[in-house]
Amino acid sequence: MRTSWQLGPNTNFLMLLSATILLLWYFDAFNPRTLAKLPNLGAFISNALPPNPAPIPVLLLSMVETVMIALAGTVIAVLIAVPLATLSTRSLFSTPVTTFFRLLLSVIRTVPSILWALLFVITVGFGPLAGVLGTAMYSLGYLGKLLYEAFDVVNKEVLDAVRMTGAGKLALMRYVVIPESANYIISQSIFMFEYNVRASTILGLVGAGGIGFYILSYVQVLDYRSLTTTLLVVLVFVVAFDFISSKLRSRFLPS
Amino acid sequence: MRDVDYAYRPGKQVLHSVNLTIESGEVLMILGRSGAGKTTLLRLAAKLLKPQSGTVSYEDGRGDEKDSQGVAYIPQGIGVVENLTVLENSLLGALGKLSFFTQVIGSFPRDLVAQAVEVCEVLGLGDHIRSKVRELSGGQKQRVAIARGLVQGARIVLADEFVSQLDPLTSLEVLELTKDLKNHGIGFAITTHDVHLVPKFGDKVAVIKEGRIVLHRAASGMTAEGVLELI
Repeated sequence: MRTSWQLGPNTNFLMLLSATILLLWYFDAFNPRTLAKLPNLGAFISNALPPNPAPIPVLLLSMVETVMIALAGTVIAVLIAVPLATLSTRSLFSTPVTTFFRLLLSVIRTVPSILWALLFVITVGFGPLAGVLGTAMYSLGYLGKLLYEAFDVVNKEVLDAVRMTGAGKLALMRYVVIPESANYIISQSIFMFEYNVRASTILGLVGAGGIGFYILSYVQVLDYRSLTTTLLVVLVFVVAFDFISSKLRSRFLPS
Repeated sequence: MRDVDYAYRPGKQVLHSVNLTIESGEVLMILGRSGAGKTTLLRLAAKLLKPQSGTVSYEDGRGDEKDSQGVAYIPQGIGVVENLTVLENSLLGALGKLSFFTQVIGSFPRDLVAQAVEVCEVLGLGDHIRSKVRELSGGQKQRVAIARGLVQGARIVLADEFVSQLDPLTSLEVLELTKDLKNHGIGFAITTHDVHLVPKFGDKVAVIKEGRIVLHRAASGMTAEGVLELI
């Protein structure tokens, strides 16, 4: 029997390429009026270079605030995600309970971080607190899912053996599920923090603190050279955090 | 176990009218081929499965009903928490003696900790009390599982494929340990494929074939070949 991969990668690639071209055409990419705007890119680049070094001190401070937002948001998310993931674990709780909490996490995940941030700007006002809460909510949805999936695959034999000692559900969680998933919890939390450092750079667009405020401001005043500096600062931090995160995570993941 | 029937799916009966008694102070060897129903039998005995019909009960010497606190279960994969230390794993046996709150905060009374340390030392784990279980050998992990059962105060230990993952020498060491514990009134129900263990370590033997107990008697006088013929 022939399966799709036996058609050969070239055929698959051509089909994918054709579909992409079709989509670009659908989105007006080949419209002559659109194509005529391409030189604008060159103009933008020439206006954005060289980077303006003047705002570097303030940008560094702002980036530190962004990292703090990501850190605080991630920690809050982990603290709430562990109990919610526990309540979503099928080997511990009944189907109605796990379904309810899985649905809750799914709803939380549906809302993008920027929207959560906006919601908290409305609730607690402008500033980094809104960013922290927005980041926490968004991360909670993802971490909760990642954790309950990890909790679900904890060896049921161990759970059975410890259950026989008279351990309750929370004790099983504390002494079996969490220790057995500890490396995964740490690894995923570090990954979430790394992701949040990147994601938090745009929270300032809605007034939720961090470097996003400067990105928005420089775009609005057409100061593209300072915008380039901002993006470079973000790039340096993100690359650094990617590196640190991958080094840290490799210590907690099986080789 | 009295007249226990069990099926994982309707029409796929795994156990048929099983009657079995496991007593403290003796070692019951349960033998059978793969898929004969040994693990299901042990899980039913541990009340981790509910029989479709029949009863599983724990009774003291006077025939009074007891709770499951006196029964420990060691699954095929040993069932120890690899990321906890030997002492912590042993203390898990005491969870049933704690209130809900102390269970969750993990506040073990000093006397229980002292008891767990003593049990570990008696079982030859004294030098590894602070070691993570993942750092131990298979035989040592079995001892940790036994230690948890002893701290639990179990009078019966249900051990599934107890020594099947161990090398022959370590198997003998662990089984010698069950002999010692038997003399302290602890009973073992051990499922195994190894018929040669019956004459040496079993007080009683039960053979399970296609979900039915075809032999349940004292092990004395039984030879490995005799058991093998029945499997």
